[in-house]
Amino acid sequence: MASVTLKNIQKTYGKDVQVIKGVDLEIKNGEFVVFVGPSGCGKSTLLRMIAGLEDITSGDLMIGDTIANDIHASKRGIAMVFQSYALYPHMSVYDNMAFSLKLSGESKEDIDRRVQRAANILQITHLLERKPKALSGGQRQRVAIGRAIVREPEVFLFDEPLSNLDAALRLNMRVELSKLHNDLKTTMIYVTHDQVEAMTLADRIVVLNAGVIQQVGSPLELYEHPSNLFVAGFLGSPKMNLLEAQLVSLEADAAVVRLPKGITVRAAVNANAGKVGDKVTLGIRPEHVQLKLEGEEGVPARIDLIEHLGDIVLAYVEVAGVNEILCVKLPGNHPELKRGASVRLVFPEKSTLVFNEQGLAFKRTC
Amino acid sequence: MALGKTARTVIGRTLHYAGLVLFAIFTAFPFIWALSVGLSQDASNIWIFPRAFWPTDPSFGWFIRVFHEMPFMTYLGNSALMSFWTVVGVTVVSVLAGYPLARLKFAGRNFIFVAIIATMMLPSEVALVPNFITMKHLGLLNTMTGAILPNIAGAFGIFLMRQAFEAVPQDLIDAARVDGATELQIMWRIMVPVCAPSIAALAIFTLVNEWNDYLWPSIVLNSKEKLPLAVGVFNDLTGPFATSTSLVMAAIVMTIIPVLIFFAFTQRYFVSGLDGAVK
Amino acid sequence: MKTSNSYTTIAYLFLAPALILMGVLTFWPVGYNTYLAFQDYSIADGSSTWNNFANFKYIAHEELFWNALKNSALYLLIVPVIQLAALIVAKMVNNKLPGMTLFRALFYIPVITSISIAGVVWANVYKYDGVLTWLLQSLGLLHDQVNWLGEPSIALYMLMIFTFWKGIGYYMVLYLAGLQAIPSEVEEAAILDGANAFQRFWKITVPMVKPTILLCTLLSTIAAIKVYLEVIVLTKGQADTYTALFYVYDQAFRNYNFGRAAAAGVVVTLICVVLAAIQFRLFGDDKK
Repeated sequence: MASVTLKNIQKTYGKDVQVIKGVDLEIKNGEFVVFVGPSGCGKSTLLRMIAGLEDITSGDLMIGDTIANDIHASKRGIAMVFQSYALYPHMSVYDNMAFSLKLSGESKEDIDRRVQRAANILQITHLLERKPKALSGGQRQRVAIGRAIVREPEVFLFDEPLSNLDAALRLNMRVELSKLHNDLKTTMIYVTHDQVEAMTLADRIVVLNAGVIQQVGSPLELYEHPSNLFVAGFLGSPKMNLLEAQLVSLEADAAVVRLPKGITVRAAVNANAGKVGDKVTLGIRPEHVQLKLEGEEGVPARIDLIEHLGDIVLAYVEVAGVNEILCVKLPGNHPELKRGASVRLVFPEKSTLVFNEQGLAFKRTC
Repeated sequence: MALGKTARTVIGRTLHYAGLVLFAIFTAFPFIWALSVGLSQDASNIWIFPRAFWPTDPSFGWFIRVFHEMPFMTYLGNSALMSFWTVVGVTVVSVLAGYPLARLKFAGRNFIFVAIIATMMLPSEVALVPNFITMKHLGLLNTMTGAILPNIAGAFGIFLMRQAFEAVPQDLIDAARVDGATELQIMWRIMVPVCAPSIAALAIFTLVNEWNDYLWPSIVLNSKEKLPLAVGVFNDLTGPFATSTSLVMAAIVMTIIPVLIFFAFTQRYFVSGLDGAVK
Repeated sequence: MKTSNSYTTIAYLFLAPALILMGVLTFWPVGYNTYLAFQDYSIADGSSTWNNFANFKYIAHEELFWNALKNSALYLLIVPVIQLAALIVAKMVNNKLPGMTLFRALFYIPVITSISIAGVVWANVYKYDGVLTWLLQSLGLLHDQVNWLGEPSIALYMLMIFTFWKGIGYYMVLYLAGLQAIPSEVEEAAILDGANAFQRFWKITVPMVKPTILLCTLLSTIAAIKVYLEVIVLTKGQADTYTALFYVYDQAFRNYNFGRAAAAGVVVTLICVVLAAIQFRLFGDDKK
């Protein structure tokens, strides 16, 4: 087991195409870290640099206490699970798992012991003699993980391992990966574009965009306290509602912003770094918006569309003078909500976030 | 309406199959006639059509006589030996050359690839004279080595293998690299087995081409006992030996049969092999 | 880290067998052939002397060579015929009806037959009392028996029929590969839009296999210009059937005039290069 430390890691293709723009990150021993971001953000490149499959243009990569920049991929103590599984099609499951051990010259008994143990953990003992093409997607996934386990690596690397599975299997494998991490307690680095995987699996999430780390933190930390508009918009489904607004007054532990048409909203943030009149963005998650059918409280609005998902209802609501359609997530069943109905929206002060003109969040005060 | 549609389908199918059968007759009739003539002990009907397409007094007499009239087994042995070594040579050379062209970065890669591909456009027949002189200087005239050497390194095989290696997913190579395989191990233990279908296709194409190669062996080889089937049988059939059409046709059928048997077993590779070459 | 896939030494080691063999037996001959074209080559002692373009001057004035070039040009007639036929045949066997594997195999058998052996059978087909005469007589199209390979006005076309028979299976397979890459939904959509079989062929199939058509046309044009094996096995150049490369072969291995053969070879090479260049231009335009 080992920690992984990245110091000002950069990656440049050719002369001037920079895909990783100076990444600093410390991954602790035994931690499950997820890199998440949109496609092309550099997360896979970063993982492949840790694996030793891509050259590091500049910066230091430490695995444990040694600088690993110049160590061959197979000598770094890592094992990798690929998106396409990358099983060797001409070898049986057993040989797939034993391949690396054979190459490093382990004894036959040793290889057999380790393969059987990994097969046991993953419950694929009955598949050992089969060829990959005789396996289902989920079974292939297990073999790919098994191939990583037998190497008893210090760091596991996963490159979007679940994206080729259907939804139900993906859920299963997610749970099993969590269990696996609990059992093995090995450092794991996991790349995905799926925020649900990131939220459910990670000890810490690293959000990347355009080759730059946006924020690092535990899933709930990132969800509750996104440091900028990108993280706020990326995590959470449906997306956080983001509305253009203007800062109108500053208080000790709250700020008041004005939406178009003069509607004002109080937010529990410390906006002292800004000044009155600044253009800001107001953010509130769909589940925090309160929707009221009667009363005088809140902002007048009209329902544009209703989606009944069974356990929840999503209401898309139009507020006069606001360009964006707001999404409101309501638990339970609400047959009384109809398209075109007039409603009122309340933005609770404690759940409302404000971002400055550069997209950075003001600190929340609660 | 439903009836009309069924009737149209039936007519369409019938026309479709009629067209196919007519065309099949066009491609197959020379073989059928040759087979019928070879099987006819009584040769009096072989120029009387359409009677000639059905053997008269069938027996294997002419086929047996082929063995007496010409050194058929010697030719067959030569063809087998030449084809075998050509297949081995072409496969090894093409795999070795295709791998770096597909997967390794090195100075001059594009230039070499374009140069190799460009030879497909040139009339290779122009090389007959220079190669004849080269073989003379190397002392390889009238040897099997001389007869197969120019067929070993060809643009087609190298191109086919390069395409196959290029199609192997990068993930597979990365996985092997993480598993600790060296570049050589990646090639022999991953790439070559994964590309086995393409290699098989190349081997089959090469085998058929070499088995049928006529011109170059006919130029290089001049002792009768060294000739392959395509040359030996042709020479005997068109030379002074050609006394009887029945004998000629029997010999022809016997020459084609090994290829047909081979083709029957490997048919699927002919389509899939060319598939890779087109894309 | 040392670049993981920069392996110049290994690359050239792997390429060495191919490069050496092709260097000696493919690239060197092109140069040596050009050299020979300007020489008198003595086959007895292998010596050669500069002859001041005598070979080129000779063939430039020789009727036989010009005739051979004319015949090779005429042979290009086969390209559109064989391409269209191969595409139609490929289309006909590209479906899930029973028996298609058998038909594909039957159409491919001529391709895998040795040209010399197939030539012997066809020489008999073309005899004055052979199958062709019988067929045309029984269709009422012909009265007299014709020696098909002996008549200068028709012998070349007989060679073309043989080339067609021998080569159509090859192009059929290439087109099959191209056709199988077309998703069947496209054809189904056209059926729903009310297109009949002919409209579908011309408006859907042909445009969608255009890359394959271009490739096959290039291959068969080069092949047509290079035709000479048919001549060797069927007519040996009699009845006005010299083609350009047969002339090269004939000069080299019947007259043993290597210099003259080389000069004619250079001319054919240049023609091939020009044709290939023209077709590559077409390819290039298509990609834009």
